[in-house]
Amino acid sequence: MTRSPGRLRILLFVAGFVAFAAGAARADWDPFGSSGAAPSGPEATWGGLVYSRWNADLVNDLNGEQLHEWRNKGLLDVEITERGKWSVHMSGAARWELLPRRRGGDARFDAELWEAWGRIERKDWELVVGQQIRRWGRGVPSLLDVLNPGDFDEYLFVEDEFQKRPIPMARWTVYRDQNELEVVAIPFYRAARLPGNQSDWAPIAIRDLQGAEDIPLVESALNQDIAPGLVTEATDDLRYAEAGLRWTHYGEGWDLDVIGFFGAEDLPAPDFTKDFSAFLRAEQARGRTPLQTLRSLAFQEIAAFSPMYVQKPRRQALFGASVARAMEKVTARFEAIAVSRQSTFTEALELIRVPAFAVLAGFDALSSDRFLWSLSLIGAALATDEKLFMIDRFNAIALGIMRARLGQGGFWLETRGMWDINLGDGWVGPSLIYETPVAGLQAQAGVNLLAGPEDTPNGALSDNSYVWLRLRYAF
Amino acid sequence: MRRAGKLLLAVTLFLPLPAIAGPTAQDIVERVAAQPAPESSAIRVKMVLLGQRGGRETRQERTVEMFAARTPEGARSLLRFVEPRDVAGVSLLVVENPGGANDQWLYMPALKQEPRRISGGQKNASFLGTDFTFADLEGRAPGQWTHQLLREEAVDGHPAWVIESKPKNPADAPYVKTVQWVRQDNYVPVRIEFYDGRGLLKILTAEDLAQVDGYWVARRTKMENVRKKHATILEIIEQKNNLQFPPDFFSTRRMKQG
Repeated sequence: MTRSPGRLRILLFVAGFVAFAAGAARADWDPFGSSGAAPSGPEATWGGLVYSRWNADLVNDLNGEQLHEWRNKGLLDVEITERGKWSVHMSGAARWELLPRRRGGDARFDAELWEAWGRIERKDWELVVGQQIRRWGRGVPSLLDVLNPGDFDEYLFVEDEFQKRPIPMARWTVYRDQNELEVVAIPFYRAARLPGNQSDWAPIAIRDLQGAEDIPLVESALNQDIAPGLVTEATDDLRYAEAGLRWTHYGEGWDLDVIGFFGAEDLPAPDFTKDFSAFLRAEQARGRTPLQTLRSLAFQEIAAFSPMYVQKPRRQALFGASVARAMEKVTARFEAIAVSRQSTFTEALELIRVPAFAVLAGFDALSSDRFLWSLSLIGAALATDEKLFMIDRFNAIALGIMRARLGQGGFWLETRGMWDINLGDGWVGPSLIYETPVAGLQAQAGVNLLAGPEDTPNGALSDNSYVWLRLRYAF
Repeated sequence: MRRAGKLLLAVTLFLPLPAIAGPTAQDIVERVAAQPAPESSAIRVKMVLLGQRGGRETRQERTVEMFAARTPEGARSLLRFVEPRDVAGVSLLVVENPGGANDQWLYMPALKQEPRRISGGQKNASFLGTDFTFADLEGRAPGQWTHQLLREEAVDGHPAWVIESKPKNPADAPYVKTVQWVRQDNYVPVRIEFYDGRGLLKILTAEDLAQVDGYWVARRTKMENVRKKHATILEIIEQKNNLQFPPDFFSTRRMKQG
């Protein structure tokens, strides 16, 4: 397996695509064309945005944790469009972060090609090819949002524009009356981006190691000793290619989406080696739970088990549907999805793959400019009788976002949050937004509070609760 | 007035008709409402939002394209932001269903999703951050209001009728009354005052009147919220009337095409 394909290949592909599109374009109708309703020429637009955010932990309780962070991100894009004929979009992302620790520090910079795609449009269809982000579903979150992998570098607190990672993809959409049929092909598997071993958001056992050992040593050793088996971020192996189909019907007062997707899980699930599984069972026989064993592992023990686990893309099929209906003051969404095989862990930390089902009821009130809100209730079930690690077989989760304008001074109050009703864990993130008089410049200050029992996902990370200040500039 | 016209018809006025001696308030208002309007239009507008913050004036500019047409199936309208960059591509599609509620979709390119269906029930909510509400843009059926001719007076040198209108069913109306100045030479309302239970709320003024393709057009329309000390100015950059839109123009697909 190799890492991501060369960016040059994508650029060459887009260039070829443009040449094809320009040669084969059909005339289209442009009401503001230079000669009445005749088509106008290509137009180029460009823009971007910059984030600069400072985080400060609320509690200094872990040796070596990042008490302060300064994270900066930028996105620059260019798009050339001839209306109704073709478009080419190129964008690049850059990230510069200063992550000081009590012992040592870390500064990192990386830049990457973000989206690079071309689109041709015909009377009844369009084709979009290249590296892109495409989100199925009509709300956030949506159970149908299965195409692009996510970015969990900062758990669930990544900026909206960066929550999904662009991937190579081809989409062909046919339009007929009030119907759309979209076929998607994803040739190369790309995993979700997870927190690095040096991160405060890393799995709990690794965070315990961070507290006990020298951070650079842990980072280096973990990457060397277990990462070769751990990290399968990308592969060009066509055996892991993915494909999907979407049918949409726009009715009077309601919209229907039906999807099918044949792909691989975006969230990597590690499969522990036989030696390590045997060790966990032995410790369990002595009365220590797998979680306790994991949290007490010394650095040398991890090295001794190298590789501790292996990981590879795991195929699954998904079938889902969504209905959106406009009501008097809100839009209601009902979604359901069935997954052929979903990876999860038994309480003994054995990987199992079982059918999964989920339903979502969502309510969005987005047409006001003073008070907007969205609430989603999700019920999920895993078809197994096993006791599971850190989650229940049945889960009920509530997620919400609310934004209210405060007076006429450019201030907004925003609150986001999530609560797992079964596990009793969740997070809430209230913040204050100030739209400055400078066009495109916004300042925001808030806090992200995580809470719950220690053996739950949010409870285990509760000592990462933090306050933050952020500037956002769009141009 | 058709819903699809909405914002478009707020800035597009009507054909002149010969003045009638001694008309009643009801006659005048019905004449205004019955003016022929373009079957379809495409308008590019500069939208200026004026406000005050900390004692200083603020100014935001946006460029918006508005398309509207009447079809046998009902009125259609598509509004799309062109500038500034951070809202470019945001679109609103409204499809009128005769006898039923309108279908409305909002498309936000940054979400990378399909257009979202939105509810149309918040008639008193601001229309995309402007001083117009959705109710302002729908117009009013004259029969649902009672009208009284208050007086005649000149507006910018043009004789006008001053008419007060009150809703017959106040519970369903966005305002307790309006007062409008209708020019006698062309039946164009050039000033409308909107009152709620607390008094004067907003003032609409239509300026720089001109005829385009035989239709009266206000090239500059201002809606001022006197309580919030905030105003929205719409200036027409370009307008084309009675266009033949392609059959699929008012569609969710078109919203995505920029």
